[in-house]
Amino acid sequence: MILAAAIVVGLLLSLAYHRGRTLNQVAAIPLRSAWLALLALALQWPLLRAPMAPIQRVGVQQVLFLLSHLLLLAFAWRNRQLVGIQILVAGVLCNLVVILANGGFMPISPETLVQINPGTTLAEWPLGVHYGYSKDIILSQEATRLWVLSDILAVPPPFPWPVAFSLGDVLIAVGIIVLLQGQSTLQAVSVMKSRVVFQ
Amino acid sequence: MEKLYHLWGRYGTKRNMRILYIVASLVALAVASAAPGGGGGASGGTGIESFVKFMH
Repeated sequence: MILAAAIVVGLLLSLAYHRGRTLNQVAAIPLRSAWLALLALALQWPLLRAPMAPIQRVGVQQVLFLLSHLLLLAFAWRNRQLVGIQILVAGVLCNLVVILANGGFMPISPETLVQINPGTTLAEWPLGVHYGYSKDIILSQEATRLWVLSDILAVPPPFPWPVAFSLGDVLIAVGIIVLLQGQSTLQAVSVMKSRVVFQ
Repeated sequence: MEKLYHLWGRYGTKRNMRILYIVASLVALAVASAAPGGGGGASGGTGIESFVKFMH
């Protein structure tokens, strides 16, 4: 959800800066092989549609999910010249490292799940189970490797869409916001900075 | 049908198609690269649950 918000924020910022030229700025983003991102999502879709179940039941979906990261990395490599993508890749790598360190799923603790699912108890979140409709596995904090990179951040109610996310997600969100500002904005900002330095 | 052709002729420009492609790719990128759930973050069960689950 924070990433959907990042796209909206990115577009609004672009609108504030470019006014009537926002759409031209978006059209001018020199994204290469963007279809790789669409294909990566298609590979992840089965896991994202899988309900809560023991991880053995989502083995095939998990393999597709891990394969999709190859496409994401290929997309990132093709677009490595873009500042927004460089920030985004740092986020993807943070997430990928913790996913690989924890058996191929993003760990989330029962405590975080209780935070974003008010009214539930810790006992309702069995450890080692795939958290439905997500890429997560429920693990205790002690059993989680690289815990700091896992889904430890939460926006609980009264926010209408309670959500948990990782530090990597925050980087990805920033990357998308920067990307949506367009290359010309970034170049203008860097020119302004260099003028300030020389004055 | 004629109205559709008219709209396509008016808005189906190369630039607009490019914008659609880029925004769709960024949405896919956001959903695919976020660690937990699709929209970025594992969703909870309150609020508009079905909407959030759909986003994931």
